[in-house]
Amino acid sequence: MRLLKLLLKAVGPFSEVELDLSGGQYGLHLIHGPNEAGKTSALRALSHLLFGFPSRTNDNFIYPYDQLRVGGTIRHSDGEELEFVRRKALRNTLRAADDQAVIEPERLARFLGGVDQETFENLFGIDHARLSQAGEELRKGEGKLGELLFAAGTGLAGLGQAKQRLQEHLDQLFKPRGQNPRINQALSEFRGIQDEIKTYQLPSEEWMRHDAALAQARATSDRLVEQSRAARKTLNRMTRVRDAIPQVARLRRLQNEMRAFDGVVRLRDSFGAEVREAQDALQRVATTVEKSRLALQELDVEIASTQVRHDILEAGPAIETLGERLGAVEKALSDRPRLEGWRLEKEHQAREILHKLGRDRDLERASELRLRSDEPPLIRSLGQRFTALRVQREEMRAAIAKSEVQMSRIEQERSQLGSPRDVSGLRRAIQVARRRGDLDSQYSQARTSRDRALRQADLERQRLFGWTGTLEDLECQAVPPDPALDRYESRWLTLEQDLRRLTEQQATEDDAIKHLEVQIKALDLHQDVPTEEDLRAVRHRRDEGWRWLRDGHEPLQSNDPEVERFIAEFAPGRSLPDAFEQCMARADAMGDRLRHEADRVARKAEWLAQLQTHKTASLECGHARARVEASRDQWRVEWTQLVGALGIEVPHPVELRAWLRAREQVVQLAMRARDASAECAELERLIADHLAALRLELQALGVSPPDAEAELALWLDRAESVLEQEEQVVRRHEALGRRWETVKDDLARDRGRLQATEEELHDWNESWTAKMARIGLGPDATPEQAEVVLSEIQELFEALGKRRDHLSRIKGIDRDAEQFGEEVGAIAKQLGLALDTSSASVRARELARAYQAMRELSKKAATLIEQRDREHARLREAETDRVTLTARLDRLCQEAGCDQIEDLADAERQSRDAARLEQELRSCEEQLQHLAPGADVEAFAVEVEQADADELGFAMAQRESEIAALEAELLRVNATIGEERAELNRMDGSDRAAESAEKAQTIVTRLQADVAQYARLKLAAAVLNRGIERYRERSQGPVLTRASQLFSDLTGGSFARLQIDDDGGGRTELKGVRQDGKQVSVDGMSDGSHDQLYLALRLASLESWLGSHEPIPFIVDDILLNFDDQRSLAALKALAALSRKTQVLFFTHHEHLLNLAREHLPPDLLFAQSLPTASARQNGRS
Amino acid sequence: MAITFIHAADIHLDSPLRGLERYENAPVDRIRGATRRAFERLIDLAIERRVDFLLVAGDLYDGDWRDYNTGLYLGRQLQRLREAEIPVFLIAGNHDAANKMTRALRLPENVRVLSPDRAETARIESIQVAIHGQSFARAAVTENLAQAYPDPIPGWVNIGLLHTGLTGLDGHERYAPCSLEDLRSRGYDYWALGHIHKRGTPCQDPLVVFPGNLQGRHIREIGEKGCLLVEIGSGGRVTTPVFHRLDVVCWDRWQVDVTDLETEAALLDQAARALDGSLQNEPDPDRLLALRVVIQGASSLHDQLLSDPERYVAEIRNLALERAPDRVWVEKVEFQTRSSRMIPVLDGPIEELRGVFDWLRTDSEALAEMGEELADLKRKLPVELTSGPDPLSLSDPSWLLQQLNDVQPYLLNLLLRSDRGSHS
Repeated sequence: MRLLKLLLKAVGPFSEVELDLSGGQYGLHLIHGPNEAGKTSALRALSHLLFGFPSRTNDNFIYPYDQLRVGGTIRHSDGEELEFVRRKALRNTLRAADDQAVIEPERLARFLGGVDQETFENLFGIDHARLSQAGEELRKGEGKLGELLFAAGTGLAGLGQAKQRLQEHLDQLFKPRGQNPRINQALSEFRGIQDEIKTYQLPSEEWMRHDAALAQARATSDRLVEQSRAARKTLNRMTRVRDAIPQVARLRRLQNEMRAFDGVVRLRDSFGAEVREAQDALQRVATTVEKSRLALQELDVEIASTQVRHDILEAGPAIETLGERLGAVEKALSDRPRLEGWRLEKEHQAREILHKLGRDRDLERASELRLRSDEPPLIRSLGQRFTALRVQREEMRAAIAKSEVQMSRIEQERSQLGSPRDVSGLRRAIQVARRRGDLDSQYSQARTSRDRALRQADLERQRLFGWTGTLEDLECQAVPPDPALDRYESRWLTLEQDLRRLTEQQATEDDAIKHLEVQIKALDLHQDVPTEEDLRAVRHRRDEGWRWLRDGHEPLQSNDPEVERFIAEFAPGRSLPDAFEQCMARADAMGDRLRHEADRVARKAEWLAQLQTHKTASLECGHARARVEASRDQWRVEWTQLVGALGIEVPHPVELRAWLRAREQVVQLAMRARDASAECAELERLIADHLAALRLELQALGVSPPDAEAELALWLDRAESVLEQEEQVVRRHEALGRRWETVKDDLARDRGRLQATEEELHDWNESWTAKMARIGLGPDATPEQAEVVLSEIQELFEALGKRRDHLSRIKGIDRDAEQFGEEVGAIAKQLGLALDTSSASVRARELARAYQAMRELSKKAATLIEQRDREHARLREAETDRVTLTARLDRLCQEAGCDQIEDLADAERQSRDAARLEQELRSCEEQLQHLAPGADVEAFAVEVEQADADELGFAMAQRESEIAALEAELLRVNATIGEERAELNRMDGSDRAAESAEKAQTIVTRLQADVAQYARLKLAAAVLNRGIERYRERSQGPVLTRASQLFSDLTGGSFARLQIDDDGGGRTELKGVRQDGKQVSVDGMSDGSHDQLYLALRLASLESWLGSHEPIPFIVDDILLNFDDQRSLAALKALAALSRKTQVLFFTHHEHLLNLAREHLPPDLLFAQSLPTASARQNGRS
Repeated sequence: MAITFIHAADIHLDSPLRGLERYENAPVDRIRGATRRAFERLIDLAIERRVDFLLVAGDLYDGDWRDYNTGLYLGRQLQRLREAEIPVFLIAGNHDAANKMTRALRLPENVRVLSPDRAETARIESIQVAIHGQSFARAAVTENLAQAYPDPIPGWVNIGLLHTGLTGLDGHERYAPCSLEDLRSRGYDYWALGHIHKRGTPCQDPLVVFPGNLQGRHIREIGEKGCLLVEIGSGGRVTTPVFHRLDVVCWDRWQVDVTDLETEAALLDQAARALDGSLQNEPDPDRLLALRVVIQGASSLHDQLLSDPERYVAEIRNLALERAPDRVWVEKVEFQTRSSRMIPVLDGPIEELRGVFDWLRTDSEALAEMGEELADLKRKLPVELTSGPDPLSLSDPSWLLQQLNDVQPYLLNLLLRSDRGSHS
């Protein structure tokens, strides 16, 4: 395949840019694009053209995805041309030059000769980056021939990288002596977990052992406790007996002492205290009686010496009252002159006001002007009322006038509006039509979808491969079920596979036959190898000859033709013996040769046998193939019958399946079209019904309907506007009616109010005239005038009021002073006190002093009498106590059995001693009871008296040591119990071991996955190495010869050739050989040479490949960046040479390369052109 | 009141769940002690329903499990039944017989373990129920035990307790083999069997029933697991057993069909739908779903999937985490896809590689020779990995062949794309 034209229609920066690549047989096409010319975009576009746009691309910065287009014309080596356009879409991306008709991808695939995009980009594309990367790997690869060839053969620049990645991946998983790789880690983790399980696991034996130990320890413990308890009991008893010995002795002593106190009266504990208390009290009472009697005598004398005047005391309240009034009287007398002054001032003021009001100055007549207290506010309110009524009257009049104007306006408008019409019918018709929604657009949509469905169905029917019948026929057609198809398909596949297998097998056999035949021929050519058969034949002849000789045949001549033939064969013209001799010599010679060349003979024999086997096998294959072919023919017949029934021709179930799918789609579309038609008709009928109804209603209203062709919507709009007009008239009528009623009501109300106001004003006038007369003003007086007069009158009466107050005060003062003097005189006279002074005040003060002196004397006499009464009471009480105490002491004597009070002390002492002894005895018995709990004390005492203290001590010591031994033992056993119990508690049924086992399983699972992955990677590495080696073996001959030449050219003769160097250890290394024969290893070459070596290998591999394949254009992207002119030219020449076998597209932005090529390359190979610059494209577009 | 009892078997206490690879954010805590928790649910159920007795038809624990703690735990749980006055009748199965613990274990007195020496009858006088059974004396009992079971007690309800693989049930060790006819001929009312981990009723009259195990432990034990609650009605008629779920982890397989899918997003979308479906299938949020996702179908994604399977496994696990962080453990993602891409036939180095693959597929000796490279690793693997139910047979040609099939897309992808990858 080669490109004739690349059309950058709409992609990246390009619009309709055409590259003519048709020059030459294939041609080296130099495409120069300065920077920014879009060289990379053009390269990418080429890949898009051949293999489609990727789902994401950056080439959409001018054209959106759906407009991206690359076109081209290509030519197959068989001469077929294909012009096509590639667009970006999900399917059908290949179209013919008209950008309409779809081209099946298989057509293009034929041109590409099975090369997919990956292969194309790797094998038929090279750019500078890949070249330098490959050069770099070459250096690192140390000239390993296999890898060099492999990399160059695939065009892979990253083989080394890939191998390295594979190794890294392997190392991440596992290293035999590593710790960190995943598998190593997991293994160590697994071992850890296994240990953990062992730690946590509790063996059955261990538990049983501990359980048994615990039971035994418990039994021992119980026994020891019992023994120790018994020993301790005995010891306790002994201790008590020993402790009781002194107590028992004391008990006996006390019991003896107690006997001496028999017959002593036992007195109460408080007896002594009672006696002493009674005696003390009696002594105190006697002293009290004596003292009281003396005090009473002294008090009587003092009381007799005190004289009190009771009349003065009785006049006390009157005298105190006078004293209190004295201050007030004196104060009033000092105020009187000031009050007189004020009275005169007020009189003068009143006279002045009277004068202002136009009256006499006579105060007595002023009372004529006095108004009732309610009269001034009445007059004032009348004044205010007048103002309000006047304003109200004016407002009413204005409102009435306004309402009258409004009424006349409403009347006018009403007469202008006509009366409303009945539109209910029209409204109903509209509602019914509207309820169905937008029928017009529904109808139009339905029509469109019906048309589309019909069109689509018909289109698909026409497209349906091989179908010429109608849609209806297609729908009615019976199709074979899937299982039947599956059956046919699987049978066909089996047959095809068998056939292919048999053909391959036969070919293999035939190859083997050919191979063997050639080998045998070669062996024979070298020298005819005798066979055993040959030897047998010649020996047989010899034996025949010998028989004839022996049978005495005539030595020189014989009539037997057999003999003659024998002679002619071995010794023509001579005798039988001669012939026999020759024959025997040949048989011997052949025997010798057979012996000498035994292995060659054997090989030939073996090959012949093999040849026979292969021939038989080949024949059998042929037969089997014929059988399968017959089956396939049979299948074809059946298939043709099956498909024939469908009326189409399809060679294969897969295609039939595809056809059936397509058919199903057509049938679906046909059904859809039918549904759409029905819907369309229904809508049409509906619309007609609504139109008729609307026309009727509009005519009834006298409105002309729109023209008959108009859409329903237009009709509805017209009808609705009529309806709206009518409704507006009705609404206006209603509004005017409501307004007229309102205005009428307002007018009536305002007129009523005006009349009421007028009446009120009349009433007011009457009241006003009367009131003005009262204050001396005429009926025309204004409210303001009335206000002035009212104020003056008020002031007048205030002045008169004050004057009257002052007068009455002065009279009161005079009256009080006189009365006070009379009262003082009366009291003094009654008490007989002669008081010389005439002033009532002084006399009153002396009276008060006399009264005070008498009051103090009277208080002293009362105190003395009270003291005497108290002393009397105390004397009586003391005498009573004395009698009581004497009686009590008599009773105590009687109780103690004494005759006299003096004996009481003795009796008390004896009783106290007996009680103490008894107490001691009881305490002793109690102590003994403690030592003998539960037992009789007396019996215990007797037992103690019988015990031997010395023996007791010895026995006790023995018991104590016995107990200590038992307890030590018990302690030890208890520790054992604790330990065993703790041990058993630790065995708590925990699931720790199970949990660890669970964890171990998760690790095992991970290991399984990782190990499998590791195995796969290992296999991958091994396969890769094997593949590299195999490729080397196959290709090193032809490729290296060519590469050697190319390398010499590309390095400008710096290297003469390439050479394989076998280091003897199975490692083949590639080396460069200088002109002088000096060998340079790959890692010893310069960077430039690495690039050239890779290029040489690459071009050689490519040429080798092209020898047996459909040519594919080789795309070179500016690889000569680091080449000097001489080497650049060499590379261009190499590419020009390649262009004799396939098209070479060389993209560069170096103009001098163009010139260099033009100067040196033959014009029938070189075709140069430039990509338009960005600005040129801009102009072209605008 | 009707008599009720529970029939359970194959408890395998403390037997670990297998095949669950740990990954980040996997709900590790939820698989802890799954068999124990299922067993506790069994005990709870018995107490809650106040059943008259509990039957366990063998295999209380795993044969090679050596932790007496398991026995202690078992004893404590059975003690709960003692407190609830529920008697328990056990027979030892092949696993129990293999385990030393069986003999050492001291069980509460409400538990009766039927003799391993001969078939015997346990009677519950109060409700006139006879339980006939025999424990395994050793791990591999190959004689027909059922034949020697005692005759039924007339007028009583007779139940046979037997650990058996029956005859003709494939894929199980044929322990205590017997035919349905053997069982039928005994004239019992109910045969409580154990050993087969899948629930099933081989015979309806009389009822011969396997309750299955309490808790699935690996992907071959999928679906709901639990015990059977059986009622004996008036006249000694045994009604159809009612299944009660007890499992805490439920195993499931879900297939994702990627036929004709072209993008990774579409694949993950499909996987998400499968996960949703699986979650809907198991609405109980308290149950962990151990899920195997099987990706199958012919798709152009095939090469991509096999060239970096780990990434897709991680993606699918992430999907599960997003959907129900604590409910799903994606046990494994299995790739059973086929390539739908046409492979161009060219003769170049790549084709040489394909040739090597073809050669290895047919030449098992050459493949085994390549397998020798794994010797280092093989030596380091513990026996747990190279034996057992899913052994890693590093030198087995069929295993190697299986790996080889996955290697091809990986290798081609590595070579053809690594180059391009370095540029982009």
